[in-house]
Amino acid sequence: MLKRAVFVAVIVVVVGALWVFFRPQAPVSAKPDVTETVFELGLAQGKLTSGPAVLRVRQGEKLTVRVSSDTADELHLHGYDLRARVSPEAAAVLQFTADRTGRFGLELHKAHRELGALEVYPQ
Amino acid sequence: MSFKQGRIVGAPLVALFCSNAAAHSFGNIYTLPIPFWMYAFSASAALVLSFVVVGYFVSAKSAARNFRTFDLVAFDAGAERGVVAALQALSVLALLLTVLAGLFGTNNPFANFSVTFFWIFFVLGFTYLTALVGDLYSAINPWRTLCDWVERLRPGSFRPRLAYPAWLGYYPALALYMAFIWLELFGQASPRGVGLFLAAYSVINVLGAALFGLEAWFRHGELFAVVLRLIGKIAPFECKAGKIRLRQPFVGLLLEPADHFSLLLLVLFMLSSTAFDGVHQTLPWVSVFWKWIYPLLTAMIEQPYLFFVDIYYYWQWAMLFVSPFFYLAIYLLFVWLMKLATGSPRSVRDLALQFTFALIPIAFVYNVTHYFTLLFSQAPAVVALISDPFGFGWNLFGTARVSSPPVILSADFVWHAQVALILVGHVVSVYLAHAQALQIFPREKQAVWSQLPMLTLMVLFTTVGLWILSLPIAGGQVQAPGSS
Repeated sequence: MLKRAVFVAVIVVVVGALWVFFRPQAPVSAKPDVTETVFELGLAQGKLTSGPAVLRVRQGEKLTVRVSSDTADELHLHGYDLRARVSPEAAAVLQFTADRTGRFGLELHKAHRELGALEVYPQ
Repeated sequence: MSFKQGRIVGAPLVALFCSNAAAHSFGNIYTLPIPFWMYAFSASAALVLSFVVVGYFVSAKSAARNFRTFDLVAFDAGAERGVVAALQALSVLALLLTVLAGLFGTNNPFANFSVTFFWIFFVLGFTYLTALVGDLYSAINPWRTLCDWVERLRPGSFRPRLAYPAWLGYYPALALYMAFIWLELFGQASPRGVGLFLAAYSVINVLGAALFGLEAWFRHGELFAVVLRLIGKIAPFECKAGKIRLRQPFVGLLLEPADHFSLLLLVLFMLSSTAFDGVHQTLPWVSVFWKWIYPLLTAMIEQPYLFFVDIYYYWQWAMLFVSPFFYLAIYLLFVWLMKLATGSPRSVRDLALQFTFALIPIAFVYNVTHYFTLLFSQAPAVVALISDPFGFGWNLFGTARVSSPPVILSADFVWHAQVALILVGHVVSVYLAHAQALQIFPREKQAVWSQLPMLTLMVLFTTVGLWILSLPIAGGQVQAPGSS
C-alpha cells in the first residue's frame, strides 16, 4: 500500500516538474488592454476569394469581420452563434469580443459551405 | 453527396468543400490543436513515466500479481430482475424512438432527437458510462432484448440453425465496426441516415441471431456488444453470481487474454480509427494527397478536377480501412522483439493475444480526448429535444423551448484535460502490460526484459497520438499546389 502511494507521488512529482520545465514564460510586457482587429473577407460565388481562411486571434481581442459577397446569403459563426445577412449591395459585419477560446467554423448558411474558421487562443 | 460541389477557383487555388469540417459525424468540435510546448511536455512525461512504472515493478515485483476485489452489494435476484426488465424496456423504447424520429421526423439534425441521442448520448456518453460502471449494455442490449421477447413468444425462433464457425471469431463485429466508423467519419449526420442505419442494423442483428443463435451472435457479431464488453473491463465494478464487487479499475483487462485474432484487430482498429479521425483533416495529412499524389495522378491520367476529388475520398476511405493492419504490423514487430528478448517458447500470435487488452486504456483515453468536448457542447440540447423528438413543434414535457446553450470549455482546460487523460491511459497500459508479463513469464528477469519492446511500442502509440492532437487543422478550403 505504501509502495503504491510512493509510486503515485513519484508520478505526480515527475509530471509536475516536467510541466514547470516546459511551460512557456508568461510574456513580461502585458499587451495593451484592448486590441482591435479587422478582417476583410471577399466572396465570389459563395467561395472565399480574398482574406484569410483562418482568422487567428487572442482571447479578449475585439474583432470586426467584414464580409462582402456577390450573392445573397447568411453568414453563421459557430460557437458564438452570430449570424449576419450578406448581399451584393451590403457587406455583412460581425462585431464582437473574442471571449471564448477554441476553433469556430464560419459557415455560409444557404450554400452549406464552410468558408473558414476563427481560432481564438488563450491569453 | 455534398463534397461533389467542389470546383476549381482560378488556376492555382483549389477550393474543396467538405460536408463535415468538424471531425465527427455530428456536432461541432471546438478544440484547438495543443500547443507545441504541451506536446513536448507530455511526450517526455510519457517516456519518463514509463520508466517510473518499470522501477515500481522492479522494487515491488509481485505486488501486481494479486488483484483485490471487495464485495459491495449482494442483491436478491428478484428485485434485480425487475430493474433489469424495466431498463430493457426503456432501451427498446429508446431504440424505437430513435429509429422513428430519424425516419419520419424533421431532417434538420439539430432539431431531431435521433441524431443527438444516437451519436452523442449512446455512442459517446454510454461508452464513457460503461467505462465507469461496467458492461451494463450486455444486460439491456435493445436488439438482444427484442430477440429474447420473440423467443419467449415463439420458442425456437432463434435456435442456432448453423453452428458458429470458430474461425469467424469477431470478424462480423469488426466488419460492422469498420462500416460504422466509416459512417461516422464520412457519412452525413442526417436524421434519415441515423434512422436508416439503425433500421438496417436491426435487420442484420435479427438475421444474425436467427442464423447462429442468440448467444453466438450477440457475443461475436453485434459490434456494440463486443466493443462495450471490452470497455466494461475498465470499470471498477464487476457483477458475478448476484453480487456486485468493487475491484481496482482496469484490472478487468487482465482477467483473460483476447480469445481470437480478430479481437486483436478490433482493438487495434479502435486505436487506429481514432488516430485516423484525428489526422485525416489536418493540414499535413491533407497535403500528402494534394501535394504528392495529386500531381502524380494528373501527370498520368487526364480527367477533370472533380474526378480527383472522388479519388481523394476513396483514398481517405482506403486509408481508414488499411489503418488497423498498419498498426498490426507494428504491434507484431514489437511482440516479435519481445519474444526474442525473453526467449519465450510461446508463439508470436499467442503473445500478441496475451497483450491485446493492455492496449485498451491507450485506445480508450484517446477516444475520450477527441470527443469529450462534444458531450458538453451538444448534450444540453437534449433537454429541448426530448419534448419535441420529431421536430414537429410538440411540447410533451414542457421543455421544448427551454434554452440550454452549448457549454464551451476553455481551450486551456481542454488541452490540459487531453494531456492528463493521455498520460493516465499510457501509464495504465504500461502498468497492465508489465503485470501481464509477470503472469506469463515464469522468470522475473524475463518479465522485465519483455517490457522494453512493449514500453517502446506504447511510447510510440502515445507520442503519435499526442502529435496528432498538436497538428493544425486544414481550413475550410484545401490549398492545392501552387498556393501558399
